[in-house]
Amino acid sequence: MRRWAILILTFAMPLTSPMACGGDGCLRNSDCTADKQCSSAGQCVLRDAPAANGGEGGEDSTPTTGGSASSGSGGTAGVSGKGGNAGTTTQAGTSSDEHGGAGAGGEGGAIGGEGGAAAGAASDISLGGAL
Amino acid sequence: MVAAAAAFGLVGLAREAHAEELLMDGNFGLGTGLEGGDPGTGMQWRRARLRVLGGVDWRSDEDKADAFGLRAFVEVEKRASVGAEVRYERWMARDFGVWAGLTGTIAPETLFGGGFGCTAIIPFGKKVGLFIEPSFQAMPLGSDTPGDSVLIWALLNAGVRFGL
Repeated sequence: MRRWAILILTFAMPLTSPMACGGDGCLRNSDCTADKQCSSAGQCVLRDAPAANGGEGGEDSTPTTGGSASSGSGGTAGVSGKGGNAGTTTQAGTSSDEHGGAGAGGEGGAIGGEGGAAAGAASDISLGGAL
Repeated sequence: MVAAAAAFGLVGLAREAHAEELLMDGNFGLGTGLEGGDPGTGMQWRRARLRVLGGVDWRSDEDKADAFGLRAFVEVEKRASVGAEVRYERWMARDFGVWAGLTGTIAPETLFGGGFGCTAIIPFGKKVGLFIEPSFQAMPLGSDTPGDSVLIWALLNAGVRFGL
């Protein structure tokens, strides 16, 4: 019994000792509470402490994205003897300049195939995609 | 004939596999000591946090001098931290060995390093004993140390060791 008492005292004493780890100072960040860290002065300080001069202002938040104009793709030529497939309507390129202006339109679709004339007007109509 | 040869081979393999066995020893104890570091104001020492540790040692019955050990520990003071240690042990005698290994904590902050130490066992019977384990470890890596400082542990662990 006495042996156990000595054992308990031996291990419990450091918990209440003035030499106990920590105190006011710190050696490790985990010595401090979760919102603080150990500074180079050996004291716990707030992790995100504001700068003394109030900090710098933020950047402007109006991004400018330059648009890229894309031209329309030309239609494919029709097979000889049949009506050529007309070029599909081309989509106007979307573009914007630095100031957000409208982009230039894409080029028109390609002309229908050569055979389109022979096959008659039943073939798809080619629409120019210019806007 | 083929079946007999296969059976003979299997028996041979089984005997060979059976020849080497892993011996396991469990450990459970407490530890503390001194903890030193330089946050920027010079080297400072204080008592290390009390820790509870447990682990296992593995060694072959054919080569009992070499062993690998794994320890997990929890520092129970301040903000409790959780860590582990893997070590290579060289047993110079049945009840005394030296070791070196890697140590780290993973929560609430990370801390990594390595160290060395020795283990002395006071046997109580065939499978149970008390271990006393002084060690020295340096921890230069991780988010737990302020700046580029190195945390140093001079620890003394003690507890129960038992065969598994």
